[in-house]
This record gives sequence, C-alpha cells and structure tokens, in this order.
Amino acid sequence: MTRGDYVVLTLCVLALPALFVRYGLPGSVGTQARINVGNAIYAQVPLSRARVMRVPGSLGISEIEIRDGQIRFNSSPCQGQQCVHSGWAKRGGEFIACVPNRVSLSVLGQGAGGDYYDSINF
Amino acid sequence: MRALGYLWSQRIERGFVLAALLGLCACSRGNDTLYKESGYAMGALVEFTVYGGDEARAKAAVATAQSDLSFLHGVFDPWHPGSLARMNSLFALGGRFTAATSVLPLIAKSTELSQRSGGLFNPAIGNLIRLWGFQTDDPPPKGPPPTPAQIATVLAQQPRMSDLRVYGVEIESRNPAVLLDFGGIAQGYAADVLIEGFKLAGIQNAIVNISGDVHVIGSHGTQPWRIGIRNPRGPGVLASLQMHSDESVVTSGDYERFFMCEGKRYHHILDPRTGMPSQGAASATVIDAETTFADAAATALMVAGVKDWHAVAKAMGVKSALLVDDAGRVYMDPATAKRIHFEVDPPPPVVLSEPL
Repeated sequence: MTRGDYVVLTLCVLALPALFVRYGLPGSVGTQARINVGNAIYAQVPLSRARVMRVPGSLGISEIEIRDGQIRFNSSPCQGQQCVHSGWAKRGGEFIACVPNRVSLSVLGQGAGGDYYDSINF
Repeated sequence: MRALGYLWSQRIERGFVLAALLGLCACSRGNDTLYKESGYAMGALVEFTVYGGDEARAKAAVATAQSDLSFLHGVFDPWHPGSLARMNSLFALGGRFTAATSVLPLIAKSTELSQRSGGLFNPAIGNLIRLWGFQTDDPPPKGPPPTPAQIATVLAQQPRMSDLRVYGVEIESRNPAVLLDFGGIAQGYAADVLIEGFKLAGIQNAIVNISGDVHVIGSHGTQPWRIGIRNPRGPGVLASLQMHSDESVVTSGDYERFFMCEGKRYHHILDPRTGMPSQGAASATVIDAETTFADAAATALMVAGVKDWHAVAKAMGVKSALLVDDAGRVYMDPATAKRIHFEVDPPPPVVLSEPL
C-alpha cells in the first residue's frame, strides 16, 4: 500500500465513530422519551435521568417512571391497567399507551433513524 | 505478474474499506425525512408514519387521512347516530330500505369472511356485545357478566350475516335480531382505505397504525419497516417482523378490553357459539396483504383457539398466522416462523403447525 492509501484508510477508520453517532445502530436503546397527552406533546425527556412524573390525562393522573434508561407507567387511573402491565420500554420505537387516560409514551432511538421498531402491533 | 498481483491486492483492500463504509450507510435507517404523527381519533389510538419525499406532502396526506378516518368512524359506529346505527334500527323493524352506500362494501366483505370462518367471525352479534357492555369504553364495562339465561335468549335469535339480503342499494334483514357491530373488522378496513389514500397522494413509504392494526407500504429507506408485536402475557414486545411492501399485521388479544368480576377476567372477543369470551388463546396475529382480511381473520382465530386455529385459518385462506396461548406458548406455521424474530429472552416455546 502507498502512503496515500494509509492516509485514506486512517481517515476512514476515524470516520467510523462519527457514522455510528450519526446513524445509530439497529436495536440501539433509546435516549429520550416523548410523552403525549391527547394529540399534543406533553414532554420530551432524557432517559438518563431517573425521575417520576405525574402526567394529567382525561381520567386523572398517570404516574410515569424513568430509571436506568427505561420508562414505564407506574400507575394510571384506567380500569384495565394494560399500560402498567406493559412494563418497561427502552428500545427506540417502543410505545406504550393508556388509551382511556389519553396518555402515551414513546421511546426515541439514538441518532437519526435509531428507532428499532417503526411501529407497534398491539 | 507480481505487479499485477500488487495492483489487485491494492484494489481489494480499497474495495473492502469502501464496502465497509457503504455497508454501514446502507444499514442505517436514516430518518431525515421521517414524518410521524400520532393521536386519538374517535376513541382509537392512531399513528401515521411517512418516510421520504416532501414533508409538506406528508403532512397534507396525513391531514386527509385523519379527515377520512373521522368520516369512516361516523359511518361505522353502531352505537351513536350515524349510517350504521340507522341501518341497525331499520333491520329491527324489518322490510327493505335504502342502505348507506358507504356501508355496503364492508357488509359484502364481512358476509364472505363470516361464511369462510364458519361463523366464528360474526359482526351480526351486536346485541350480544351490548349485553356484555363491550359496546363502549366510555364508561368502560364493569360487569357483572350477563346471566346464562340472558345469553341463551340472545343466542337463540341466531343473528348471522347471511340473514341480510342486498338488492343493489337496497337491503333487508330476514332476522330482526341482526345488529351489526364491525368492531372486528372496521379498523382494518379503515387502515386499507387510508393506505389507498396515501398511494393516491403519491406517498410511497408509510405506515398506518389504527389501534394496533398495521398496514405498511414501501420501506424505511433501504431497510424494511420493522413492526413489534406486543407480548400478550408479559411486558414489552414479544417478537418483531420485517414487513414486505403493502402488507398488514393485525393482532386480536384478550388484554385489549376486559373487566374483572369476582377475580375472573372477561374479555371483549366473544364466541358467537357460546356467547362467552373466547377461551384458550391470549392473542392471534395474522399477516396478510389486506388489513381488512387480517383483522377479521385474527378475530376468528382468537375464537377458534389452540385446537382449531389452523383449520379455520386454512378455511379462510390465511397464509401467515401466529397464536399465543394462555401459558405463553406460540403456535405458528413454518412460513411465519421463518419471518418472526423473538425479542424476549428466553424465547417462548413454539409449536409449529403444518404449512398454511
């Protein structure tokens, strides 16, 4: 290989981390979550900071917990508790909704197109 | 020759580096032009995803889709004043009348699918649904369940889709007990209609998700759309599926709507034979080109349960299906098994059926 080849190769190797950051990896965990109430965005929060949020929906308060890069419904005023039983969400594109209370949360993947799931069949 | 070999090795090395970089880009699911919108439309959770092209066009197409969905809801809601509610009240009176033309295509489709399912998919049992209180989520049904005598009375009326007679734009029911509730098919039908609207608007890559009934066209850039299938007996996603273009996946599950009474769970998918919630299956998933078909078939397979799902799927013409039983075992055909990627660790026990 010529010196020029080594330069090109070095540049390519150096560019790799930037490409990973730019495009993310399929299956990468989410870094943020978006919480919707009704048809509006209520909050967009990082998953890196543990917290409990009390989100007012149409029936009452849904309690949403963020911990260890994951997010879940701790409690909700709905009857079925389907949202609570859905457990933790952490992968980009994961989505949990409390339809009766009109509160939903979706995990946003890292980087552009980082969502592992494009949509959820439920 | 040595010089030629050297040149080749140079080219191969350069090729590898270039291929690695290009490969990385190709694997990316870049969403520079990914437009997503979700919200509630007439009681259903709806999500639209459009990839590629002009964002203004995507926004306009989604706005039209939302408007179409509102119209369809008005047509197919049997429990509030509207086209279907009017027809149901006229079925009860007897005689021929002019049908709402927007309803006729789904009546024709439902009649065919009901027959192919051996009556397990039966949208004529609206009175049974109302008896259980599953006609509304607002307020949600609370029980108690109806008495066996009440159920027997409604079942004895034997409402079927075949009781309907269509004469052009006129219709009559030979059974006054027919009360149409398209809860097991209307959302799938709406997903098909909205996807057709997207195509007409020039949208090539999109997902329409209506309360979990998913229809996709195109792809997410260089990658197929990846859909997560909810775990009916645990948290999160059970499995994922990479979709072909113009394909649908629909799941019916016992976790969607239910009430508890004296420690027992009563869910909303009713077995038209017994008048009781179906038993044995926690969820049934059907993959098909048409969401309308997949929706009705998923309902029928839920009712059929573990013992009969395969026979009913064959009778209906289902080509790809997956059933989860109460214990979390997964039943599926070999073609589905090839496409499904389990997202739970350890993966669930699988019972493979004969091909469909």
